[in-house]
Amino acid sequence: MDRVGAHPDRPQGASSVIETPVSASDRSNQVIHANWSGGLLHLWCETPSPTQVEGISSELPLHTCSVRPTDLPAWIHGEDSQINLRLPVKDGSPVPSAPMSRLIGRDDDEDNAALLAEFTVPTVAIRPIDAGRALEWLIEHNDDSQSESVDQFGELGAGIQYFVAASRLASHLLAGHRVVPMIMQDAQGDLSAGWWPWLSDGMTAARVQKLVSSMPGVARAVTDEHAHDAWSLTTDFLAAVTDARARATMIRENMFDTVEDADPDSDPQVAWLLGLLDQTEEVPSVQGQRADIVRKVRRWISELEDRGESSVWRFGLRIAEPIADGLAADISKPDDTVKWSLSFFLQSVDDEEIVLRASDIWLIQRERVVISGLTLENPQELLMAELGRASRHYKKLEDALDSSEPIEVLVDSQEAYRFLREIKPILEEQGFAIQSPPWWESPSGRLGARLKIESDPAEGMFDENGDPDGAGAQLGLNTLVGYHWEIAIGDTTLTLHEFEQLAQQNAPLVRIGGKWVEIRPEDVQNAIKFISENPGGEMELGEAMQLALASDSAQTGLPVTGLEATGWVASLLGGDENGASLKLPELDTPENFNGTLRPYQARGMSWMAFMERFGFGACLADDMGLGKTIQLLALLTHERKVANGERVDPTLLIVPMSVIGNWMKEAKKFSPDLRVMVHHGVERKLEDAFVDEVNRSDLILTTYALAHRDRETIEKVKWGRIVLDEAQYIKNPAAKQSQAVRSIVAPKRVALTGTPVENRLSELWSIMDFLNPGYLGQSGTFRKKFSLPIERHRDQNKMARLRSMVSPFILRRVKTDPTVVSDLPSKIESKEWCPLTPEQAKLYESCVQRMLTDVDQSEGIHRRGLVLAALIKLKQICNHPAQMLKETDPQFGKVIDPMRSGKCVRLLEQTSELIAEGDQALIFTQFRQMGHILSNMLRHELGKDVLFLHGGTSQGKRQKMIDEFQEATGKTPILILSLKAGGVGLNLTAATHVFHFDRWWNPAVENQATDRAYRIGQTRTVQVHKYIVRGTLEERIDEMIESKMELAENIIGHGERWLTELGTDKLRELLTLRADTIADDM
Amino acid sequence: MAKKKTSSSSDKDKGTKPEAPREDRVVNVVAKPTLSAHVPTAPKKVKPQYASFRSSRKSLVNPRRVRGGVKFKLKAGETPRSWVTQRLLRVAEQGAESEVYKDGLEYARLGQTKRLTIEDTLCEGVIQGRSDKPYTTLLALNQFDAESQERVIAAMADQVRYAAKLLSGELPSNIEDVFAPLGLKLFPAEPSDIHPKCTCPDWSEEQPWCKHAVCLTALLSERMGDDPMLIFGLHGMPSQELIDGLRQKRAVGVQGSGPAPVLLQHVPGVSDVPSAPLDDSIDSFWEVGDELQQLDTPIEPPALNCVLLRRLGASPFPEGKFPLIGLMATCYQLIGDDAINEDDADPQSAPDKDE
Repeated sequence: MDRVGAHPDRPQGASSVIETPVSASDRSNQVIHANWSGGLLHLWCETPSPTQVEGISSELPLHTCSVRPTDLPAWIHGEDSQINLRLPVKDGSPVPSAPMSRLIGRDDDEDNAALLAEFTVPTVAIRPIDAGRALEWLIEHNDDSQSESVDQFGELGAGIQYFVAASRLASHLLAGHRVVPMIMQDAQGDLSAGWWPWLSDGMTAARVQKLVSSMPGVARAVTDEHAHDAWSLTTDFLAAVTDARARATMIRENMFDTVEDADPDSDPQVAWLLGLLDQTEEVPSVQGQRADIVRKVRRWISELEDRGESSVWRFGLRIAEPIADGLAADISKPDDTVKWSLSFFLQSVDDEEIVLRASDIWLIQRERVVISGLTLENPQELLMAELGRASRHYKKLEDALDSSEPIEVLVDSQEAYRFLREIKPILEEQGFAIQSPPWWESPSGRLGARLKIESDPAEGMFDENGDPDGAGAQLGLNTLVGYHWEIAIGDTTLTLHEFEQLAQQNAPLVRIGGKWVEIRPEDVQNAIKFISENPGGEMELGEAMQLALASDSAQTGLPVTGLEATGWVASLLGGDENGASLKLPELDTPENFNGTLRPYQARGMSWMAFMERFGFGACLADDMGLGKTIQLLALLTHERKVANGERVDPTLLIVPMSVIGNWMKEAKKFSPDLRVMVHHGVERKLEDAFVDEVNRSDLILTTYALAHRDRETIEKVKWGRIVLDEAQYIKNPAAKQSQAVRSIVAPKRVALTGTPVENRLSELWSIMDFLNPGYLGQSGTFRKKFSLPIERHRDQNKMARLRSMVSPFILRRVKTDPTVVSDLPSKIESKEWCPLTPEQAKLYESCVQRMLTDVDQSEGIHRRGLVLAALIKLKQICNHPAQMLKETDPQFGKVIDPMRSGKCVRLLEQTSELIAEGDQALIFTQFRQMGHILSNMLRHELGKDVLFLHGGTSQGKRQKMIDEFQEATGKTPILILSLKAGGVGLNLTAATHVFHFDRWWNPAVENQATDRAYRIGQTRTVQVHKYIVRGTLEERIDEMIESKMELAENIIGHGERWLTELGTDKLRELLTLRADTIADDM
Repeated sequence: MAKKKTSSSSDKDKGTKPEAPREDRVVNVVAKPTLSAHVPTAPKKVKPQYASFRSSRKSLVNPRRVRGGVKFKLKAGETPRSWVTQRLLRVAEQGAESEVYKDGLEYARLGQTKRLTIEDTLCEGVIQGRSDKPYTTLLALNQFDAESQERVIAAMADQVRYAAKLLSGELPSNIEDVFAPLGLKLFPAEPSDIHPKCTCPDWSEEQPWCKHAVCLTALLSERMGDDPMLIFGLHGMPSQELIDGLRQKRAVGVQGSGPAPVLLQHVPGVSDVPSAPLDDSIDSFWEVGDELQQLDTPIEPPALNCVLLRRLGASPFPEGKFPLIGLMATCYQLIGDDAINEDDADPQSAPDKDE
């Protein structure tokens, strides 16, 4: 067996290598790929290092870094197999795939492969019937918000993404009846049958085009008869999957029984069905019959492709209502003598405006006319030919063929209705143009039910402060509201009498108020039933909103066309998506608040106050940098002002460890009157001591981890409000932390998040269920009703419906909102206060101790050297322990665990948030080594390529990176720069965020770096994040800079040299760690 | 979106287009070469020259007009949509004297051809000129012998792209690449590749390109643009034979390829666009294209049940007694319902966590 490119580390002599046992836990560094070959879906795993697989025999070199996936669920029924793939190589070995490079933190610039070579890859082969489910399982299994599995794959290859999309398209085609029974013939002439996807129609063709054009190279790398052709492979996959699934249905339903007794010899249809309805695809036929069957079926199916005589002109039908004269203006059954007309026309295919009516065509004397620059040859012949073609699909049109110069046919109302409902779609699909009246298929043209909710006016419920007048009962989604249903058509509400009149007519098209409307017979029955079952009364507001906004006609029997509300419910529902038009009392910045709210921030605070007033949980989802923290602090201050000295129940604020420091600093700065308690650390208070302290506090900060761990203690308190910051932390509804958080009782609930929650559905459910328990239903039901259709199939209708349900509870402003952007400064600077992890703290302390001992015993240059060396070490520890410990040569792909550094955790949170918002960022560090650690880490964690520009980057590569970053394609949203390399000259305005991961302590140098993004050409607000580790020298120095101490003024310009001059006591004071700043759990 | 084609009746825009090279063309072909004497050459890759059929001077010909004749649809100034049409027109233009060519084209546009038949290996036209009686014109191509046919089929069967296209009734544009190495010429590339015969007095063995021959060639070019498979028949190789041969070769020669459907679908812009060579996609080898983000596949029942079945109409087997269409309608319903229900179902290993 020839093996090219054996890894040098690998012991020679294949027999001596024992197969690496691939246990489930190893999956985390594997990338799973999918290929389609030989009628089977092949799954294979790419490993970071060479692995030995048994049982492969091949003439070709083996892909050394590949294994069969193991421990797949038993129902997948995979079989061991192998395939040959052409893959990118370098030096004869396959290069790691892009996802593998990200996974192992390898810069794929290293892997400039320019050639392909063929390799044999071990696979697990899956039959088409299981392919779709297996792919969906993989996607779900690897989705953190769905699954807590420890045995996730490191990444899913592009082939998985591609074939799952193809399999979803197959489901779409099956559900929409877009398959055709097909006959196939093999080399011997034998016939078989199958259910084929029909792809040639407009909408489907557009979808197929999107699919096929996005096929990644890896998915068509198989060397087989498809010759790497995307169309050929994709249609083969689609055909196999649709046939397998349709056939499974036929078998399960025992459809075979219907033809069992019939004789295939005497009726070729029976032979055909035998091949469609059972396991066997064979169509029993004798030699002489075959040609006839093939010919007839081909001709039959080719009808679907018949697009008419002309490629420039299409034949059309226009259906017009009877002229209103002489018709009763209102509900009245049009009498049968009233006729609708179906008139004929020819229309330009390219320009629908160019229309030639049949009545005009017959006046044409010439054989050729030119209309708007378009030539029409023999218009009369074309009209007749196409009319003939259309009449094959609609027999009524044959009536017109009797006339020598046909221009229209007349039909009665029943027939007009049949035409609109049944014939129109067929003719349209066959390439004819149909013009129907505007009311047809518009929501206002159909009978529906409308929900009316009555509630008290909102105005009366506030006092002059915009606050609830004391005695208002606790409202919320559980509040009972009065409601009743109305039967409506468009804007017209029908009285019961009118409606009964309608019902008696039994006519599908009637005129109401001078307008034609469609009354589906089934709608009338359902409406009568529905109204009698739902006479109105009171129900919970949440239930009413669900009914009106999210129900489909399966629940109500007829379309729910809207919701009309009065009073405060109208206020709740009245705001548009950015809350701009919310009719709610606008509150001013509270007096004791140490700062001024920007107008949109005041609106945000008012909105939260309003929502809380009516007992709704509220989600403030403003973009990062718009000041969610400030708005919440203002709300708390406001609340206490309004209470006027009376006791206000405390607020529990649950945050990720990484932002505790920020909250403390901000609360102190903006709301100095708030008594803030931090609940974390090993010495935190528990049980009664906890309750005692809480009772002396206004705001209690704790972490998600502790909210779960100390749940029993926390539950002892009567909370006034619970707030989740970075609420996406509870994205997995089943996770213990999420469940613990949801179970805490508090009347007021707020969630803060900067990620676009509406796009992440399990996160959305989890947050909404925290805010307004039960409103979106059980998570399983929600998943079926919304998550699956939206996430798998991008179902726009479902998305719109869900959005209308949740939008009253979410206030999201983005930086580019016109109402916000005018309030924003062009640059926002903020400090990110990060904690130390216990590991960092230990290293830091021992480093300080050693240094203090050493400097005591030394002097002069030697002493200065010692101090400087220690300072650098301390800075490195603050960055990440791995940097100080030099754990790895970071240039060669190793991913360092971010959880060991408070700064890294915070950086990951912020970068993933800004990427979700579509932004780009610069990250500056002084240390090239840290740059490597960060680039590997971010590449791995964010699944995006990360650019790193440092002093050693060649000029050419540098320009390439800058260009790539400035193009802002979203593929490389992060650019890391070592401060020296990136300080001057570069124009990086594609970034709207600048991170100073470690500090230079020289504002001029930092500003110079910041100005890469904040300079001429920048049209958006730039956010600058300065990372500071609390309790360390970073914080001390920051304090000095801020306080503009004389010392600082004089020396900061000179970097860190001044530190070396300090006496030992001063150094001790400056460097000793403060105990309360260490994270106990990230 | 409207692509309005304007039929320019002026000669002005002619100036901007390159004139066909006229000096070095072979105008007179002395004798009709026999098949054995014919030494095929690879088709020349000449950039299409549109100048000549852009000409649209006022008609100077004055034949007896014909009603309902076969007309050449391409307007003066328009570029033929099919490269096949372009190719044949160019050959005729090279073969005929310039005035003759223009007249012949005008005849074709006027519809002077009373009848056009393509039977076996001959294309025959009955064309009305100025005299009382119409002339009969014939066009013939070199015939492929049995051995050549075998080689053509074998060569095409090796190339999946050709086979798939041909099986679906389409002609791949680079099909001549298959013929050139075999020393065969599929489409005429020079005047001597077509052998016109005509009953008019202008026709001679020496100059077989009379205006009727041009007229007929023009009509054939357009017909062939719509149905390029005709070319095989004219070479003595009926397209059905070709397809059958191809199907057989493919099934035998290519391991794993299953039976072929009787009708291969055509999706314009997709099925006729070959993928870029795999070797050219190394840069994007590992990533799906951006368009996948826009692919929506909602799982919904159709607006109209069994819409394809309704479009197809009655059973293709009118003699059959079994109620095929009714049964199929039931099948569609079951298949659709299953797809909707199955999609609701989670993969079996991931049960709902909170229910």
